[in-house]
Amino acid sequence: MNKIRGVGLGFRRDIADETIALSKESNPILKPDFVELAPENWIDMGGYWRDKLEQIAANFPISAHGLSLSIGSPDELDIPFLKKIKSFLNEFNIQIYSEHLSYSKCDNAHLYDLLPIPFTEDAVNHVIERIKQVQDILEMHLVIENVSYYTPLAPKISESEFIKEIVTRSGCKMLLDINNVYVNAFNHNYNEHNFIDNLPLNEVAYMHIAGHDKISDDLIIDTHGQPIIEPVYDLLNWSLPKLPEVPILLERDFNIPNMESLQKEIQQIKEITSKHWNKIKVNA
Amino acid sequence: MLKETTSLAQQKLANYTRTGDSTGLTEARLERIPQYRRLVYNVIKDILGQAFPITKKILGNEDFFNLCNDFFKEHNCKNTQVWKMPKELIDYVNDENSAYKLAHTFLPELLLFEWLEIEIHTMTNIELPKLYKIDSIAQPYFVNPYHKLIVLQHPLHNKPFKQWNTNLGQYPILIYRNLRTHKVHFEELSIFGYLFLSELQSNSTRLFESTLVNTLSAQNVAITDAQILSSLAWLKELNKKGIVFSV
Ligand SMILES: [Fe+2]
Repeated sequence: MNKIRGVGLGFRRDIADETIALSKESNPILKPDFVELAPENWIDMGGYWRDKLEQIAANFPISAHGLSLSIGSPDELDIPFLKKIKSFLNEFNIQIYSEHLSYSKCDNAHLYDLLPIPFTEDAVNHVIERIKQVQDILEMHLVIENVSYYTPLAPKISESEFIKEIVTRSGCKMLLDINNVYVNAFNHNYNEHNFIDNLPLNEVAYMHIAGHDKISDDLIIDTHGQPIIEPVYDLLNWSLPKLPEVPILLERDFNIPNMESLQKEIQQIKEITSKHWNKIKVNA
Repeated sequence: MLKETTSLAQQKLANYTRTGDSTGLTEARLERIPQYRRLVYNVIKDILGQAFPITKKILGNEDFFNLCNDFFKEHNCKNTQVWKMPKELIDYVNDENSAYKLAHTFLPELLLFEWLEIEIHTMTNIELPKLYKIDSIAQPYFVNPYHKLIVLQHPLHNKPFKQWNTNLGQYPILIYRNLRTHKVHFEELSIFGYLFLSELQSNSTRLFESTLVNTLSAQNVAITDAQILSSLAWLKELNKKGIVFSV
């Protein structure tokens, strides 16, 4: 139960039982091929939720998407925390560990949200050093995600240059979040196709897709609280021919609908991927 | 190495999300940064509101959210795992200078009481020995490891809020997790029950009899047959509830 491929679904407590029950879904196009979870939400957890974790692990391959690494923080890396992550990944035979290209801890305080790293050369070097440190400890690739952001912070280079430099020079892999590209292109008024073309696409090892909330004429918030919108499906469809065949994860964190609606979204993603990637078609 | 201008910009944005003070935060779109402050506080208020529903109800939304704001502004959250973060609110309120503690003397105890339910519900699993029914006090025993013993001064577990400050006393309570259902239960205890369970936890012989003798002699109570019989009956009760077993 460890090979991650196809289309996955985020494993959340609100839908834990329904997600576990999907292991019995007979129609492969309506069934997630894997689940993704945040290790921080499950490490050390005993009792009822530990049972749920064991049940999902017995039925689906798992990928891990971290929250608290804070790879871009001015603060020191938290080594004991990384060691906990490592033993969790080992325990559940998890082969993909991704994190956000952002910071969530500063001045010794966790903020539990993702703040934008300044797009500067020194930040690039800082993050590269830390990614290497993380990869040395974990003895695996770190997969780094392009995050959505609402303001750039003291930028000196472009966002795509920032990401590309970090990924190519650190030797890490990239998580391409299609919705985040769409959200950022809208919020910062750039062309999403040019942006994707400037990314290190050969290093993409994993993808995210999600819905968002448009809260004003010029601002979208990346809530993961709505269904995926058509333009984001279109952007996925446009991107896939440029990418290696990688797992894709449907993120839904808030305002979670019934499982049938999520399954319809999984189906729609699978239909798009099967147009470009044969193996997923076979798998589905 | 990060340049000072880079780390300073990061610190100013982080500080702004906590305090609302954007002084010196120049290289950012200032009309957008309130989104970060809103998002950060949504997480904090949600997590604390879910962890402390009784506190939230008693303080009312306004005071509770003010508490959340002051906590997050003044306290550096240490936990990498956000579900463990609510415990830090207890330390914050327990600070001797806390205005919240002065205004609401029950608050540290209420927060602890609510937190322990989460702490015990989520306690990391450990390997358990084979467990048996209790028949006699001559048996070696095992205490359900997922538990906490506390003595409350306010009767917040069994009296309405209005009577908490007028009924100060000593209320020993056991909070434990059922080994099978994983549900958390509260058990009111007598002082003797509390001392006996405390002794059971710490007694290295792991024999009921010596634990009973220790507890009783610490209280200068003579050990009679009637005493032993009633203790055994009580142990069988605890056994049925899944708190103490023989091994
Ligand atoms: Fe994402």
